[in-house]
Amino acid sequence: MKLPTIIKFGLIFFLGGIAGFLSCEWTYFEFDNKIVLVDLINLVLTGGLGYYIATALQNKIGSNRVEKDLLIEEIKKIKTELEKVQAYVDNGSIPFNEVLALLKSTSSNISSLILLIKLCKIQTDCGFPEIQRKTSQVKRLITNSPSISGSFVLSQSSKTSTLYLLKDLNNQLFKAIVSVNRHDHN
Amino acid sequence: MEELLKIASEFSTTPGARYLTDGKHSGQEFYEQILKKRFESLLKANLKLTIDLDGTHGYATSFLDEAFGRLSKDFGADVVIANTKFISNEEPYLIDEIKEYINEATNDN
Repeated sequence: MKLPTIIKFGLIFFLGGIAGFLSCEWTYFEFDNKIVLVDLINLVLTGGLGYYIATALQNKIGSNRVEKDLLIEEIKKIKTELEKVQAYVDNGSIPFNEVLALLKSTSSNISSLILLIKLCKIQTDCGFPEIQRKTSQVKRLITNSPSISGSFVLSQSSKTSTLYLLKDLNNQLFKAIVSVNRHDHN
Repeated sequence: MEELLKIASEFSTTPGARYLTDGKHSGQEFYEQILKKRFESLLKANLKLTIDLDGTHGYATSFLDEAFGRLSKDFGADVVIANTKFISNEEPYLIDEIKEYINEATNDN
C-alpha cells in the first residue's frame, strides 16, 4: 500500500521521536508540559513551507527542465545539420540536392524553434533572428555559386566567407544552448 | 481572378541551378518554358499569377534569381509585384527573398 508523502514524513518524524526518546536519556532536552502558541504556529508554518518546497516548487522546476531539454534538443539538431554543411564545404564537394534539402530543413527548424521559444515563454539573448539571417547568408553563398555535375563549386573567397559564417553560427548555437539551459523562469 | 502555378507539380520537385548549361530543371528553363509564357498570357487577360513554392527539395538562390530576376527585367518590378502572389508555407522567408531579386534585377538595369 502506498502512503502519501506527507504521512510518510510524519510517520518517520514520529517514529524517530519515539526511538530517540526510548534509546537516549534525553539529558540535554527538557520537555515542558505547556505549549507556547507562537512556537506551535511557527512549527506548522515551517512544516508547511517545507512541504511546499518539496512538492509544488520541485514540480515546477521539473516541468521547466522538460521544456529546456526539448529546446536544447532542437538547437542540437540545427547544429548537426550545419556541421554537415560545413563538412561538405570543407571537402570542396557540395552535392546540389543534398545541400539544398539540408539548408531547407535547417531554415525551417530555426523558424520552428523561434515559435517554440515564444511558446515556452523563454526570454533569452539566444539571437535566433540573427542565426536565421546568417543561415540565409550561408545559403546564398553556396547556392548562388555555379553548379557543375550536380555539385556547387565555390570560389575561394565564397568558401572562406561560408566557413567563417558557419563557424560563427556554430558558436552562436552553442551560446544559445547555454542561454536556454541557464534561463530562469520567474 | 488568379491562376495557380505550382512549381513542384508543373515543373520539378528538384529545381536546379541558374542556366540550362548547369543541368536539369534550371531557373532559365523554368523561366523560358513556363513562367514567362504563363505570366504574359495572364497579364493580357488581366489575371494575377499565384506561385506555389511548396513541395520541392528546396530552391537554389541562383534558380530564384534567374527566374524572377528575368521576369522583373522583362516586365518591370512594379508590374511583377502587382500581378503575382507567392505561397510558401514550408519556407516563408523565400517570399521576401524573391521580392528582393525582383527589385534588385530592375535596379541593375
